[in-house]
Amino acid sequence: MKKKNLLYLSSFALILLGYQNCGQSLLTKDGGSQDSSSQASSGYQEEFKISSPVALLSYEQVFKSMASVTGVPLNNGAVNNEFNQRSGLFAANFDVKNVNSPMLMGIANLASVFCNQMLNTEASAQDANRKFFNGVNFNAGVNSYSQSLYESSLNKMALSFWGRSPSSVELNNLNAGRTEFLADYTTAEINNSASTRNLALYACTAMLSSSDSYTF
Amino acid sequence: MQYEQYRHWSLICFVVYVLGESMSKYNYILLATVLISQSYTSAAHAQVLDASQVEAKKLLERISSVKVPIDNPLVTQMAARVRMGDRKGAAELATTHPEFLNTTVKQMALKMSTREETMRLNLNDFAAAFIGVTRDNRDARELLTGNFYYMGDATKIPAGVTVRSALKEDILDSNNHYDDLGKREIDIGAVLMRVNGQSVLDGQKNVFPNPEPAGVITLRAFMNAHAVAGTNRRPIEYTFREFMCVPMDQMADTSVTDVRIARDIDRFPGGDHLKFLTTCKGCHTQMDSFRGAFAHWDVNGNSPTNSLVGSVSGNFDGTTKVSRKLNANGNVFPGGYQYRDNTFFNNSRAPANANLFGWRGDVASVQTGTTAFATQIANSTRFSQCMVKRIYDSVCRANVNTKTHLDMLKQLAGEFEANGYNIKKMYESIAISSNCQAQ
Repeated sequence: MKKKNLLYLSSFALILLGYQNCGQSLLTKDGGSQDSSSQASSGYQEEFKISSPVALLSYEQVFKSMASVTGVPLNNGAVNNEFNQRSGLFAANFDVKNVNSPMLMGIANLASVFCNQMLNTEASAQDANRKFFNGVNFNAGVNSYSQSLYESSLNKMALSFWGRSPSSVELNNLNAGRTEFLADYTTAEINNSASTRNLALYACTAMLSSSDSYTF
Repeated sequence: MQYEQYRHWSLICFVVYVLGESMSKYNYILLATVLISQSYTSAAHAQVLDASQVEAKKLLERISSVKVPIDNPLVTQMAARVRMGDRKGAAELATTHPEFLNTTVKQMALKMSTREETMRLNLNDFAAAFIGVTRDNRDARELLTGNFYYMGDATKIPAGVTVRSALKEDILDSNNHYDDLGKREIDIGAVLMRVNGQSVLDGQKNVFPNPEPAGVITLRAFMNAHAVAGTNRRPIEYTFREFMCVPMDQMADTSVTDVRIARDIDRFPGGDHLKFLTTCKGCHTQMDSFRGAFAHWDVNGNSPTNSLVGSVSGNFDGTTKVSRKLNANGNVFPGGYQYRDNTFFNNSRAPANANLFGWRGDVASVQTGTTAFATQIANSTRFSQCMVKRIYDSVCRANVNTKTHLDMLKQLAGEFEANGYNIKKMYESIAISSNCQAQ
């Protein structure tokens, strides 16, 4: 696949996924609705609310969070090298006003390295021992990575990275990315095993660098 | 939501611009159209989840400052407690997560340790002491009154990891030991050990017991940040700033005696005595009255030094052993106070400041040394209020205003003191409070 198209799709998915879930509410198992703003009953609540309903992870927290949710060890050389290069771009405190484009690009870069390392582990592990990509044949071309397997990977990554299942809108967006991804391949490229890994890398990077992963 | 929409659009424009440079006209239009249309995507569909697990995950992330997968074993255990209505028990489990000490407490402490007030620092002795006191459920007042420090236990360092640990070269005269403890392979909270008895270097870089221990403020990080150069007023300013949450301008008081204001302060700045009386005097009555507590301290190269032990360097008066910088520029106002020892007195007892700080114990008599100064700070009610504010800001991602929310801070401070000034318990209590959960 052309590298520039991979970049386009990753950025496309990054932007889209960053703005999903803006009005998320959770249904509890008893059918009631749970919204964070309804929990507090103290009179101090209104005064204590920070100006934005989200808070950023600081630079160190981003790094440790990505390690925690992907299972990549903290002392992995590749992620440490990338982090050491990018950490100056990340937030120094929790204020959401620190969000800027270089920070988002830095997070995407770091996420891609974490995902690459995570894929190294997944691809070399027995299928039963994989955490995210069960059933995926990394030795075959991307046609073997069916939509159902793909969505299964997405679900598992979402539960780990975001603490929830992906919404139908998010699934549609990521599936659209997959479709665009496949459409750009030649026949020879589709049969190359690298295409399977590339698709997995794209999905992981897009999800790990979305706002659910770097905000509280 | 205005800011979020601005951010949303600015980011879309940025991406469209960057990608548009390399795309065909058709693809550019298609991408822009899709991006813009997606900006109006409705809220995500609700997902059915175990509410207890979600609450447990959020609580764990608040306390540990790190995202965790929903199937993390600790989340599962905490969720079981939440289902039983035992949120306090769930919070107690959360503080067993290594990142509570290694990230949450560490970052809170790092911001207090230097002038820059940033968490973008390597681990230092100040933060290590905070982590250790928290882990060991010690009385937080020890952070100001104690004679100890924390360092890595060599028997617990993972094999193959080098941690430089020479007392003089790596702890007193550099940050090598703590730089090494901050390596990714090391669980800081697990390897720290308490060492009773602080040490300090003399003018010849020989090691001696610290004659004026005052917890973290007489450790290398804080002293190097605030007692280097200058006039030793900064240790006073930053002790109040970090441990009382009171910047100097908020405790300035022109109504009290100026008898301790030193000779380097011009009583007629620009020829105007009124300016001194209404402006300069306010801060200097406070700083200069306490400053004697640091009379025997200075920074010699990379390390703090105390003239009460060992050989005295040229930084100190050979007779009084007072740091020369306390009496520098004595010709500005020769009638001002001259430091001859480490006595000080608490000039923050006028009604406004007395009410602000809530002094307890003997603060009226003239006292000596850093230990006594730090003890006054630690015993005040303001210290407790400041510590709970820092904990609240840390775990709730807030910035509590100490003036408008003083009643809440007082209430939390009362709980803090009733629990033996236990930092960990305070984190657990605040994290499950309704105020914190709302943010």
